[in-house]
Amino acid sequence: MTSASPLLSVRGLRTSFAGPQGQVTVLDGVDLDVARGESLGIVGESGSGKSLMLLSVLGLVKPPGRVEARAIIFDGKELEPGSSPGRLRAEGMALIMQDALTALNPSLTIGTQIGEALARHAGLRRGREQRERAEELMRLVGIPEPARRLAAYPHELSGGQRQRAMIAAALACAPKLLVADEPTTALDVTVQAQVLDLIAEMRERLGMGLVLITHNLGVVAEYCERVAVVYAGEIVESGPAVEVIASPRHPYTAGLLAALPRLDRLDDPIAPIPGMVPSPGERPTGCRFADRCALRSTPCDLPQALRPAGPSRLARCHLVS
Amino acid sequence: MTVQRLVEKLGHLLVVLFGTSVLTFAMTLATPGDPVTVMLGDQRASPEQIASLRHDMGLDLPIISRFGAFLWHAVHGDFGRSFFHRRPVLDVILERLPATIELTVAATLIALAIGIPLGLFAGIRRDGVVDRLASLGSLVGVSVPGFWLALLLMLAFSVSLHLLPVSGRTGYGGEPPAVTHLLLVDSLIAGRPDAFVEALRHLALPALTLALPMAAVLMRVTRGAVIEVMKADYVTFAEAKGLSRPRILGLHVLKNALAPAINVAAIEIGVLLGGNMIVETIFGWPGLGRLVVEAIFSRNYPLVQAAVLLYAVTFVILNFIADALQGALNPRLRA
Amino acid sequence: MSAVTADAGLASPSRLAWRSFRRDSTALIFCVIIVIACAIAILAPFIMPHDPADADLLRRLQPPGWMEGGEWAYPLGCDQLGRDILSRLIAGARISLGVGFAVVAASTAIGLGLGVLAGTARGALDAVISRFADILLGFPYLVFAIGLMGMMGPGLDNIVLTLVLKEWVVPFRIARGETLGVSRLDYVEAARAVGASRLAIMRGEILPNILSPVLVVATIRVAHVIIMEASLSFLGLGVQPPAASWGSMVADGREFLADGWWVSTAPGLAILIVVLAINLAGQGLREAFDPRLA
Repeated sequence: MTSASPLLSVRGLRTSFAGPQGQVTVLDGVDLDVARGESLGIVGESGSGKSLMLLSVLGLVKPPGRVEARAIIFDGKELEPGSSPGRLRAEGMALIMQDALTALNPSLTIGTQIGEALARHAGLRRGREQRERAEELMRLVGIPEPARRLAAYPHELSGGQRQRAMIAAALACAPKLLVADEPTTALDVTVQAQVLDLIAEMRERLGMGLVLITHNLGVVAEYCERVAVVYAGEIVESGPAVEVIASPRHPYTAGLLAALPRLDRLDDPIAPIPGMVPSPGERPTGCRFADRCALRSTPCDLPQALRPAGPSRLARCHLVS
Repeated sequence: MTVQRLVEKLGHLLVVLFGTSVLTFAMTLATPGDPVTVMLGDQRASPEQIASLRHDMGLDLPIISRFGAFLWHAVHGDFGRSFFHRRPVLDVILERLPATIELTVAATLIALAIGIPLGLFAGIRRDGVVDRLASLGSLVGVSVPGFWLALLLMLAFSVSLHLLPVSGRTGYGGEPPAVTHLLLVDSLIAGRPDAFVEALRHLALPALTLALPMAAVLMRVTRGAVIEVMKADYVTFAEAKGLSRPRILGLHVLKNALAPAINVAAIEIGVLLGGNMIVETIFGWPGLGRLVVEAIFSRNYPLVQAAVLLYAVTFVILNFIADALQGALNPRLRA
Repeated sequence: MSAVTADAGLASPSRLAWRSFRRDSTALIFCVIIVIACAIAILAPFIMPHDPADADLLRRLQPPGWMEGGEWAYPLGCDQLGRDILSRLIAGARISLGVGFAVVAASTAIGLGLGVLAGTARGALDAVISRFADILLGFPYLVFAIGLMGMMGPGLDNIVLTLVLKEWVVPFRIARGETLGVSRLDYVEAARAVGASRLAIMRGEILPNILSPVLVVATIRVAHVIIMEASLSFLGLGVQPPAASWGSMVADGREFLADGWWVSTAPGLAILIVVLAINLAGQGLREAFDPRLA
């Protein structure tokens, strides 16, 4: 993209789990780039490995999981792939999770959970300073009566407010990169838009990079500059979001788009992709999507590499060239 | 906790206390034959004397009245007289109570100090060396009969190694002046380290016997709770925030893992209340438990009844406190 | 299981759990130990090497066979009256294990029946029984047992009565809970709609599904009851001489810890082994039925 060095650069990410029948590799040599201030959407079905990708980078994968990588470079510093979130990695990356009710500790107040992030990242350990900054953050994310909410427990807030409080806690880490793991799946539709708008606004205000993990292509279309489509532990297509969605170069992406019901064509039958995602232990040696692909041919029996499919676009299919 | 909920819980408490006293009273009706004759034992008494004794004890009244009288007197602290001791039952009980309290408190503290940290460690480093050893040990701990454990410990430390005394509560050094009637505390107040050590030496084996099975249970519960908690999303989120490991474990994990442990601890203290009858008998500890066993064999029914009521009421109140504490630890329950 | 699922060839959760339990080899080992213990108890009169009541003061406090002064004819040594400990141990198994199983069998039957009754009848009947159960549950176990035995007087039948009185509450709660849960399920509603009598519903739909959790808990309770009986007998409130259970045998050896530690150790160890085996088998059972608890 630009000549400025990327905020996050991952090369050869491999995440595997020790199972009853040996080591199972879920992510197999994934490369990822996020530029400064850029928003990247990562799209895939459940179990595709999309969340695992970022959890691995954040160092949140614990044994029996194992993370390896040729390189993970964040903000110019090289990070150790490993299972413990080193102090270095925590500096500059923050995570927002799917369900704020489970992501927030039920027995600690909102104030405590935002405050400890402030203590850790902004050095604000004393009561009043910390409290004022926490209230500031609460106001930033649009929570009314911040002082009262800080003293409350997670279950005492509404779903939308809880999500905002979680975002406030993440922002307290002063991140340069915000990872949002399905941030709206647990919310109802009206609140979803509000939260996503909030994340977009925060991103602009604070100049953060954003990685938005979702299964919802519509969200990606509206909030992301770039998109990476994940299938069976691999990135199968990447590029500017608008272009990828307008003209997908990988059959899977095309299939995903075709499967979406359209308001302007309500009479059209829903067209799901036939077949099922192969589980990590049962992946074919060739193209992992071949079994479900309508355009399958002999070259598909060979493992497919990512090929250029246009300006800053990649696709993992021989049909591209 | 809201006032309304508190009142509700207190109401429930009163109902249970009432039911407990009914049950305790009902137990005395299970004596085979006539209690007075049995109590007199070999002593000869004329039918008139027996009848008069029965009248004194209110045994010629209908059962409901007897229960009413029992309840009325119990609330006023009158549990009748112990013929054996020639004193009111309450006095005899109160005299022996501090020894049992000292033993129970010591055992509880030891069990908490061993069980909860071990459970935490085992849960955090699951399947590690400590976990495997502790799990095995705790399984034996809940399976071993308390009276046998007492004898084993006695055999090891008193008989073989001569490290600790076999029985009793005090040695020959003489007791410190009684302030709280708790020897450990009184000897510290009086500045008598020798009495303190002696009291400790005598307390060690009985307290350990009671503590070990309870520690085993606490360890298992804490371990299970920790394992569950560590799978939670909020632990992942806390890690993602970059919090230090000690803070995550010490605050986030601990606060949620302790709740079930407290619940179990209260139940286990109930087990201690029964267990100390056996332990006090074995170690010759001059407490309430041993008094009850002696009273049973001397057919001292009023005393047995009073002691049983005291134990039962204590247990009910303990559970009530543990229940209330749950609200303090888990804010979701307060609503 | 209910007719519908059997016809459809689907395995009910209970059946799957039993299958998984059978495959757990460590749990099976403990089951074998339990079976051996039961066999010993049942075959007692035939396998005892000596008459347990045969006292010979010449053999007073004779050490076990592997120690100096012992003989292999009396492998576990002799007690203070010169009686063979192994034979007494085998004879005592009858009482210790017998009481355990008898109490759990009786209390489970009572608790199950009352639980299903309370769960289906509901209303006042349910309230009364449940309240009674709550109060019993709130009574510390040993305090209750010792207190009641103290009033009633010692003896084996009194022990069984006392322990059953405390034990029925556990299966009662489970049965009642499951009954309340199950009777709201669709297939019971369907049975009711078709006009099945309450008894038929109880037998056909409710009972098979609550049987499994009740039985799993029952096996674990046997261990607890064995320890309770042993504790009561230890204090002298249980079986009276000349009969002996393992608990009273431990009490017998209390005074001889210094010169004859084996008198108390053998019965105590027997209790530990049986209880441990039951607890481990029970843990395996629980894991098979609800792996989340493991």
